[in-house]
Amino acid sequence: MAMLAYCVTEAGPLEILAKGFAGRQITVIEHCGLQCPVATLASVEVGAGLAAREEVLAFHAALQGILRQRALIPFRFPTVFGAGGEVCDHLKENERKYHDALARVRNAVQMEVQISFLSSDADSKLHREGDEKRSGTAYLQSRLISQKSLEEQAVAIHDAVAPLVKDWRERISAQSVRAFALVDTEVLSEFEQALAALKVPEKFAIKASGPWPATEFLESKAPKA
Amino acid sequence: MPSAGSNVALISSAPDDEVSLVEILDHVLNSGVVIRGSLIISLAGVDLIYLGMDVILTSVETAMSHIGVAAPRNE
Amino acid sequence: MQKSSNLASTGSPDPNIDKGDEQLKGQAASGTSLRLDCSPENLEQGLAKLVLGLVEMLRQLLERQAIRRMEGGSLKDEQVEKMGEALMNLEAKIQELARDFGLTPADLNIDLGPLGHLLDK
Repeated sequence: MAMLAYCVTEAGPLEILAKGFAGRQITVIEHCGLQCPVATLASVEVGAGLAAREEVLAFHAALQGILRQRALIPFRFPTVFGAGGEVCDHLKENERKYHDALARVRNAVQMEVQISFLSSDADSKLHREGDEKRSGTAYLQSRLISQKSLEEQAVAIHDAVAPLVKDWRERISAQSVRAFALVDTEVLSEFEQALAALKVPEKFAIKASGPWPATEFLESKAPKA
Repeated sequence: MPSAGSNVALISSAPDDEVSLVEILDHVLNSGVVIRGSLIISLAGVDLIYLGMDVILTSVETAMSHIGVAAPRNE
Repeated sequence: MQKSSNLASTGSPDPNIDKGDEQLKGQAASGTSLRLDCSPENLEQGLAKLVLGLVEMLRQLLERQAIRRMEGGSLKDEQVEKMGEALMNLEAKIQELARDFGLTPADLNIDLGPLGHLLDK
């Protein structure tokens, strides 16, 4: 027997609206003021299901149905417990962490905005002029300039949506900035409209997605490097 | 989601096109609580690297930056 | 029950779809474990992928540090020049070697299951 765990939410009325993984019925395990929707599967099913994108999307659909009702912390797919007792043990052991995290993101969802340069593909040598004799200093400078350019654009977007955002975190890399916005569900559609209305310089490619469970905001503040 | 300008792509979490599907798969498979996560990299049956993790609620990248493994982020 | 995933890259018309399926095949049934293994036929390429991927990851980490320190003014001009040149040349070398083994830059971005991807996407 195997139990596929979906997520952890605070206790409270919960409707399971969508059929989840492999169409298996979802039941809710409750413990310590937390709930964990699970689906009981035959172990062989999990193996077969792992090959199918459709089943992962079904898992996702079920999570989204729950997200529409309350904040949740999803389990990495696939997280499988041996039995209900194991789920309760896990909830009990991590009771404090879950309660704190869920309180922090209550009534809010995560929207993501990824900012990168508009280029043909991931390995485009955007910073290269094709000049192999380029100096090391010029190389690092151009990387710095690209990075700053992306960061500035992230700040600009943040400014544009700031009134609608409870919290904002960024993950910066050489090729992109991924920004995560914690948005109250009440203002979600306003936020989406604000995103749609963004005026962004042509050299950038912006990819916005959501709503997602607020997985980036489970701790009180982003860690310092 | 409402449609937007030329270089802003809005991907709704309800999959209705290929780009969204890839994005969603990426999300579901790469975020969420990790319990007893482990990774074994092996070559031709020889285990080379083992990494084990206990319960991680937050994103793995966040957790790894706590222990100084991931790349530095904004100051 | 654990599934193994083949490290060697597969040619396909849509790399994104393939990557997703590869990820799915790699996930194990219990907890969130991932075992990456090479089949004997792809040993050379698998080894190259692993080594080059790790070296590129370290190179990117070093580059990020170098940029931060350059920005912060804690490096002398000649240090910036030497570091920049080394990083630039190393990147070119890695890509060259990758090509020799039939690997694209994206191939080096190994999926580590619970740990996410090796490199920035």
